[in-house]
Amino acid sequence: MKKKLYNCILILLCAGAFIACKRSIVITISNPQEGKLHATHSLVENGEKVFELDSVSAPKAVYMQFCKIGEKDVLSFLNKYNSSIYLYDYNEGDLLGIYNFGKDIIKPGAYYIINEDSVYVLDMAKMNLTLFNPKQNAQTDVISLKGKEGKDWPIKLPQYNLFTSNPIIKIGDELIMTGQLFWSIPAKAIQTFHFSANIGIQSKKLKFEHCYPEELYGHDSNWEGGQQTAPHATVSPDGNLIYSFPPSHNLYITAPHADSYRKVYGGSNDAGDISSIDYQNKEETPEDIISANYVMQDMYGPIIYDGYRSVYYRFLLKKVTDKQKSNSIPNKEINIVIMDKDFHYLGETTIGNGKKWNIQNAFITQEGLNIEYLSPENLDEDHLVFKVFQLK
Amino acid sequence: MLFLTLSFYSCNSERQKEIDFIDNVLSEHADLSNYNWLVIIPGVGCNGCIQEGEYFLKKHVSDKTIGFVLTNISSLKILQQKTGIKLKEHENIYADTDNAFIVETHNSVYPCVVEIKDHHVVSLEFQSPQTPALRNLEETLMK
Repeated sequence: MKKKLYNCILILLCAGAFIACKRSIVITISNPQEGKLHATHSLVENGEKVFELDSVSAPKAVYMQFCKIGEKDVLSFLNKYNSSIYLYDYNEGDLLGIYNFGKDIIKPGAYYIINEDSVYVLDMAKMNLTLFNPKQNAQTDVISLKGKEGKDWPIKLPQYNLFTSNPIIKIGDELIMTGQLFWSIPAKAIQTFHFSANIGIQSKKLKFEHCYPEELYGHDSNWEGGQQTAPHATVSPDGNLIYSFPPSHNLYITAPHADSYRKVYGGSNDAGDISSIDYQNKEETPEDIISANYVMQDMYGPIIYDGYRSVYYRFLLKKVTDKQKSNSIPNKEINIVIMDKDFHYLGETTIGNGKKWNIQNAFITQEGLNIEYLSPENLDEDHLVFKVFQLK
Repeated sequence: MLFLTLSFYSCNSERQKEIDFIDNVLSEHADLSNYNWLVIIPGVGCNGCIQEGEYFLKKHVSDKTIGFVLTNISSLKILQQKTGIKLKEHENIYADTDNAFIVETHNSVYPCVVEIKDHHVVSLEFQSPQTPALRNLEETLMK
């Protein structure tokens, strides 16, 4: 009898341990305004921009920048295949020139054109920011992004997945790159890991700033996969940084060099609860569980400030309900939430899914919000196409 | 002993999950199940491994026992530039624009060699820094 009881207890303990092993602290972020917001504005597709590509460049460029060079409105893009930046006249559609990096930059990932003499290029292989002079076709300065860390810098410092709608930002005399940790944030690092790099253009000083909010990413919660831990940033008219974290209906506002946030509501009328992954052993989380957590829940994406119309656009990637499509991010429908400069909700528009739109390539011009359109007719990949959305 | 058994079971169950997944996708792509081998090459993932996959494609594209599946592709145009292969000229290359062939495991970043018999997957191996699946296939083809 005693032996039976002992065996019973042992089995219960093992089962308990097994269940405990699989469960984790789950953070759930609710949307207090779900279904309660009133829309007064929307976005309407009105016009397109088409740029002809050469034989070695393709749509879905990994990085673009819209800027003024001299008197011209210039749309530029990074061609990783031949390590170049292509520059087009945005209004006429003509190719203006190509900046070729040669062998100076091994793996360009992003850039910031200051002017015709100065382009800062993020080299993902060397993990540095190189100042490149296109006129001299030479690099003139290099700033290491590895700081003073040793070989384990990838787990102590941010890594960067920058794109057109989450770009290198210039505020005053500083460049800001929003990086991330590509896995869950350990509880012991929540107040020490900084995801943003701040680089002084004149001083060449590098400083890492801004921590993940504990209420979203703390308590050893499981946010594996890299998508959920990717902050997106834009700049407010008064020079503050506005961070959009994928699982949060709020926006987090801070200034360069500040160490705290002001929170404002910046969510969607359509978005529901968003939860971290319910799996204890974070490193061993199965890929299908990670993927389903991102695809089958609402998740926020980039935020862009439109200085011409004084509004913010925040992208929401809506949850996929079909379990058969739980591993496909392009199946997520895309909403664009519109807010005024004080973050008051103005409305939102659903534009279709990621098979049709590449929201990583979105930017503002006088005409409106430009978003790359993935045309089914563009099978030969001969054109780069943008649809322009106007505020109504 | 228990640890070894659990590790073996864990690896084995992941491999079976991958086999079942590809087998299921193949049932919806019947033409591809006629090949003896499928080489699935992702466009995004382990750079060196993908380059090996592209090199293998270039070398063996004329072998009609092998079907090539290009998945998670960022650009077919650039892929054609890199390999010098015109995709339309080869019936045994399938561009998986729906990304149906991306396996739902950590191995999705590696090219994958799939062995097919009677229209079903019998085994698969990934080309990773630890497992030379493409070299193994070359050796098998030479026998």
